[in-house]
Amino acid sequence: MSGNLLNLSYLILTRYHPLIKCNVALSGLNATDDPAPGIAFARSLRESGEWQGQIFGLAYDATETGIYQDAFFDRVFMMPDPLLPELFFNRLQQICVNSNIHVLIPSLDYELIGLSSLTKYFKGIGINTLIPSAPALRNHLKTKLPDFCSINGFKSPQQMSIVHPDSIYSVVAELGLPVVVKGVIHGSHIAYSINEAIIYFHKIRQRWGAPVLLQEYIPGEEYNTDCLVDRDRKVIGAVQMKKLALTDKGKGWSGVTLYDKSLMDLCFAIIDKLRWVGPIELEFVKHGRSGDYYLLEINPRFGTWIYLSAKAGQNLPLAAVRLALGERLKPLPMYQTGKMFVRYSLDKVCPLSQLAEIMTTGELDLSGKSYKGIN
Amino acid sequence: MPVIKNTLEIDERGFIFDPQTGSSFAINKPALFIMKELKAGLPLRSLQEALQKKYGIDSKIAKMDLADFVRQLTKLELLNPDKVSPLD
Repeated sequence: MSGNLLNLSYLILTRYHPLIKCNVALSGLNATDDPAPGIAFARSLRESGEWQGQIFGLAYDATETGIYQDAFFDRVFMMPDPLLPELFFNRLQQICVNSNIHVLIPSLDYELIGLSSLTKYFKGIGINTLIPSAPALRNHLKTKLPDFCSINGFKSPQQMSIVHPDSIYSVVAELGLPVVVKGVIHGSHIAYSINEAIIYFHKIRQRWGAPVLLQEYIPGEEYNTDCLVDRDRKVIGAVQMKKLALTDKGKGWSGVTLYDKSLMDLCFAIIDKLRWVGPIELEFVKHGRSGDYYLLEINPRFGTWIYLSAKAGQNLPLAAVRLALGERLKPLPMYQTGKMFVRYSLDKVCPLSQLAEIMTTGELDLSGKSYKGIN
Repeated sequence: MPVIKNTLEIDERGFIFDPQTGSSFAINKPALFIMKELKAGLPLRSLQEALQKKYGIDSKIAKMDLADFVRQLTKLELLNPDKVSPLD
């Protein structure tokens, strides 16, 4: 045998990823100081180099800031309330007449509950999804979190549901101050006094309805893990992020990737118990004294910082689209730790006619040219 | 002998990142010198002598400052917990 055959040093092994061609519809277009993940998802796809197609934004309000981002969305459509699944489905069917949607990625917490019942109907009109089952979704609910953790041996803050502000006094007597006031679907504030808790109670009840949750405040630093789980409930990718800066709403405005094996093991165990499929975000606080991780929240979607996962080496949005299309994926390679994101605000200037178009016709074409979908 | 966590990333400009906790720290030049020597496995006694020589300080101050710095490292969980033993 010649020496050349034994010398393998010139071989470069790379993972081969074929280009995927599909049109993706995404929700979660708002990008204010309490952003949704739609733009980060779209950006991860656009920059992947492994995807080709159109991205359709699905919006619920003409003021959602992502509607006007022509760098990320080709078309945007106004949608009816997802808690009225029939209306939502009819609107999707109407959109599909002229715009083929191959993959639907719901990116808002409250959408999933209504849409989980529609997956087989989506398939019937050629739309692929990666949505958890209704029982798995029920377990993620904020009201169920303490029971889920207690049954499965995971640490989580004490929590109580209340419907009337008078209950705040007795709950605070038990949980102490500060206390975290949370909505059942979204919204969270730290209250340092009973008066503050009452104000937040009313604010949250008005926006998200009753009950309102009061959660024990755990002092420590916040860690998030975003994961992607395939249909066999195997974790395909997971990226950990520590929040470096928070807004006054407690939203991460800056963060850095890290890898803590004990946290990763904990996340895998939680996902297993949830019997989850699809994107998921687990939010923890690491207790300042004990170092134990407390599960604060489960989000049935990627976090708003998901673009960081793509830049750190695990493009979870791209992998989610592949899984939705029915591909089988191997677990993604380890991501890079020490990758930091810093969020910033930027004014987008656009013609008022765009607002008029979305408000009057219910859709906005941002492609700037005649529509060319993938058929 | 205190052993620096082997996963720590030490930047030449005086910046430390712990990829296990996501914590980062800025340190001055003497601290950077100590971190690098500890990471290289230099025993404390030798490190103390190296500090004296490099910064022209007497042994008492070098010993005290070094002990104080190692205490901070311990508190910040930047040392390998399995390999920390009392100074001296």
